[in-house]
Amino acid sequence: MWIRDRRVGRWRLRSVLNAVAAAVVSAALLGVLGFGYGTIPALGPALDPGRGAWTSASGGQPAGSQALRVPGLTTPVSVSFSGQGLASIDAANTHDLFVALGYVHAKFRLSEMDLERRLGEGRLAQLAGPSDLSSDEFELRLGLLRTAQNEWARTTGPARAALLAYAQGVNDDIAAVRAAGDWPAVFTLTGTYPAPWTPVDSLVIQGVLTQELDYTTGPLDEAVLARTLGAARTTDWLPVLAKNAQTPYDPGPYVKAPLTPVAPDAASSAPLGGRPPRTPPLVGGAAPPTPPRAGSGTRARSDDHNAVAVAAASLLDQLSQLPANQIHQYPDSNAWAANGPAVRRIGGSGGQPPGKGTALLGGDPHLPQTEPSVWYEVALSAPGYQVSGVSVPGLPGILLGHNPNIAWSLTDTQNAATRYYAERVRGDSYYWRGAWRPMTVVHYTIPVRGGATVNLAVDITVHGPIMTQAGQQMAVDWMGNVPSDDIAALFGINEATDFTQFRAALTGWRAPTQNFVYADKAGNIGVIAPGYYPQVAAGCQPWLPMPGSGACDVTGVIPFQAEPQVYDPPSHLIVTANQRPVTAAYPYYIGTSADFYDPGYRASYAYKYLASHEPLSAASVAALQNNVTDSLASRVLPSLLTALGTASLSSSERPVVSLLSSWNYAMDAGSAAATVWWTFWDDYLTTVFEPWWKAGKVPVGRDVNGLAVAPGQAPLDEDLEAWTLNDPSNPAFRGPSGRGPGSAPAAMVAAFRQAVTHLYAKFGGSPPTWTWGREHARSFPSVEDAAGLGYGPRAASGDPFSEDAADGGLTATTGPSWRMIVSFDAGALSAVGVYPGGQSENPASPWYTNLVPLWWDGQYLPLPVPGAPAGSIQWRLND
Amino acid sequence: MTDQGVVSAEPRPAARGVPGPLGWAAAFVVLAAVVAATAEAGAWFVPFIVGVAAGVASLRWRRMVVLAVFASVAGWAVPLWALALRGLPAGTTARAIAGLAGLPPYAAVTIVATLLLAALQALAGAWLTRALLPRRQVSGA
Repeated sequence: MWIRDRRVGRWRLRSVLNAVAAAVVSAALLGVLGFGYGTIPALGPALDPGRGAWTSASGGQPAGSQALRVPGLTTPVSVSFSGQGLASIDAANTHDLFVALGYVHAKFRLSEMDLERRLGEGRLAQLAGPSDLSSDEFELRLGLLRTAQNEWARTTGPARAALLAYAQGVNDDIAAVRAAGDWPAVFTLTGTYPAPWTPVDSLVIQGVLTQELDYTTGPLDEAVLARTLGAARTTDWLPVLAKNAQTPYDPGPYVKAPLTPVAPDAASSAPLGGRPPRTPPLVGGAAPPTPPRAGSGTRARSDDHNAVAVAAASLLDQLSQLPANQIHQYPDSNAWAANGPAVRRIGGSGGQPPGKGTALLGGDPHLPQTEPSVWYEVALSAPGYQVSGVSVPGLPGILLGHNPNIAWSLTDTQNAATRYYAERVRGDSYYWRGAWRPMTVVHYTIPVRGGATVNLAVDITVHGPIMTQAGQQMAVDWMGNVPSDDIAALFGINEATDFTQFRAALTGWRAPTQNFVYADKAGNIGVIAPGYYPQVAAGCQPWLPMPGSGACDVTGVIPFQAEPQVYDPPSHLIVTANQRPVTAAYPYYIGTSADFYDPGYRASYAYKYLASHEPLSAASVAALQNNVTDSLASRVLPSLLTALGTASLSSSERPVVSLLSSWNYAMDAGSAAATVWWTFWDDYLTTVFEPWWKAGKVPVGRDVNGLAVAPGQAPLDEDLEAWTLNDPSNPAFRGPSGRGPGSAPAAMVAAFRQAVTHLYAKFGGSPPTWTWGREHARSFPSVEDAAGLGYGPRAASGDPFSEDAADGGLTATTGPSWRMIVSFDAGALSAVGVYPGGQSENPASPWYTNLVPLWWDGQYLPLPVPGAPAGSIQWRLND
Repeated sequence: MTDQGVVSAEPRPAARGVPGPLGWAAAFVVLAAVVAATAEAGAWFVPFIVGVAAGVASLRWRRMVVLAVFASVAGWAVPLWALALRGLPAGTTARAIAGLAGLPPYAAVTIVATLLLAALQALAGAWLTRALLPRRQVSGA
């Protein structure tokens, strides 16, 4: 009996356990599927084959002709597409034009746009989880959102109307997608859907671009180097003016005019209604100022260099955790213009004498290359507005392109626009101009996917937001936080008919500082670099974090008329390639050689190439844009070969020297000499500088891009080139121990031997097979950094010093993001362009990477013509 | 064990009313159609409900659980098949979803994951029902 009872009991127990297990598993399964867990999305709705991420397949089908309802249009709008996806929008007025542009941008790039605004607004963690929290905290501290809100509050006129119309168009698409349920996959997968688009979102995207081009860590790196290498050596090796020969596009004479005051709110980047005035109030009303004393409760003295270095290192640590390419890293853009006798005249007459009415413009901005691209190619047409080129999804207007009268392209000016200030802080106050002032505090909450919401308080001084509190409270005064009328400027240049209008349109452009290269149908060319170049009092050191006491505040900016600029130079050539734009005679400070100015190799080579290929044509510009000659190699290699000629070489080294002897300096994927050169240059830098870095214990890991000894570290490249050619016995060659190679030739031979040993070990015993393509590739990752959705890596030509630049390491991710050539031939305009991507962000679309092969092969497509159909695919947009 | 008066953990299969092949096929088609149609409407949890129903039905027809699982999988496969039939890039979309989800970027990964969700739901539903429903004590209880 008891046995049966026991068995029954066991059976009941098993039944109960079974029921509990089934209930728990079912609840867990349904819970995870329905609501997600941690960073795991709600897989049920996400993978529902009828309504989930699968529906994004509809966005991957080839676009076809159709009629679409777009609320807010006042008249029908025609949108046409070429077979490659290039778009042309034709509207009866600019309001409808920008509604349609917003709609088309969102139709093809909604997730990219949402990702970019999330980046700038500190909302990435809501989408991606705790891994992106540091990015959100950084952005909210820096204040792209606050700046955008300030900008929007003061945006008026056509720019305001355009931003509103654009937002309407984006929201029309969001509404249509919401109704149809065919969201881009990233939304369905995360269950986080895009909020309505606002003009502030567009201005945040403008801020993200500004940050990527203009926010630098130079003073932080220099503080760390000064602490580790010594101040004198750092100043010597990272000088204001580079040691090597450069070719500035504005050779002078220069204007020395009084500084222009910085616009209100420039430094604070505080939110509307809460920003500190330029002269902040005293703590405690009119109480007399209390000078800080040691031990009086202040956290650190601003002149404590150790604390400053600690703070700099801490901030660099934060920055190193940001997503790739969030701050400025590589100076690689090109823009050239030629006119008059420098340009070949092919057709047209117009009764003009030879050379008149001919101008040529080539532009290839080098940015992080991603899928989808940062660009969307489109022609825009409305009465009084006829523009073609590339736009930025999220922004109305054309950033690089042409209208019927002028063409323009941009390169980054690279000037120092980021100032760091070590603040004295006591409680919620900071010491400035002899008194304690209250800090403005802004509070944020950061939603985190799969985690608790994080609260963030941002302290803001008169200089700007406090970015770190480690060791020393460090504020940043970044010119990107100055409200900048970029959209209005953009419309101004989109509609300009001559250089006067073009130049006038750029007076409101404050950041990012850019070289605007210009050509027009009358045959004129020019360049101007508008933007804020902050100046501080003499005696201050803006290349380092400065004391926040007030003595080294920004006193003003270079006046517009004194900014680097050239119009119709006698050489008939203008070359900008991120080189320092002015000579040593320029009367203002614009940054040091460590401020990402290019070493000048591309600019020098381009000047030489263009001058030697006159009269120039679009074909010669295309050839230069795709040229992979390493100009540094052409300068240094003769010295290397001379040094090797006097050295005793082994039988394994002599064939490698033969490779170099017959090399044409082209970094071709099939060139073995290119591999040898690049490995040598890397080892040469290491041989000379690494011992100093080790002796000083430079914390390279805090900012590899700014602190490591490697090719592309501009001041080091420049120093070593200059020493090799002009100062081969520089003390740097002796090393910190005094037992280094001692001279440039000895260091070169040592580096060459090291390189050869390395290459034999890596590639085997046949030097001709050491082709550059085995070592070097290009890769275009997806903007989400998702595996398998990018392009490459693929063996590739080029290096950071070639016109067709490849930067970001041996698997390059930065390079020509857009190539454009515009020709004016006796007033007749022709324009071609290409970018390495496709118009659609949907990986399933035939327009996802369809332009990459053209770009890779150096081919171009005609730009869509404003007012003319781009192709046979037609959309009719109606309210 | 029943001769010792101990319970049986499994219900006794019904001897009468077993559907023929056509009956099973019809049930499969109906269930798959329900799952497919409700998936189109966003009701991703229907395979679980089908599993629950199958759990009840399995007291009479044991094969219902297997049928429900396969019908759920088929019901979720139909919309995917329809995508491809409509000329939409289902394979590339599957690869993209896998990539975005941080999984190996192969179409098969997403397809298998999707169908697995349907199968797991149906199994869980059936298990829950069978665990909760009263079992018959065969003798001596």
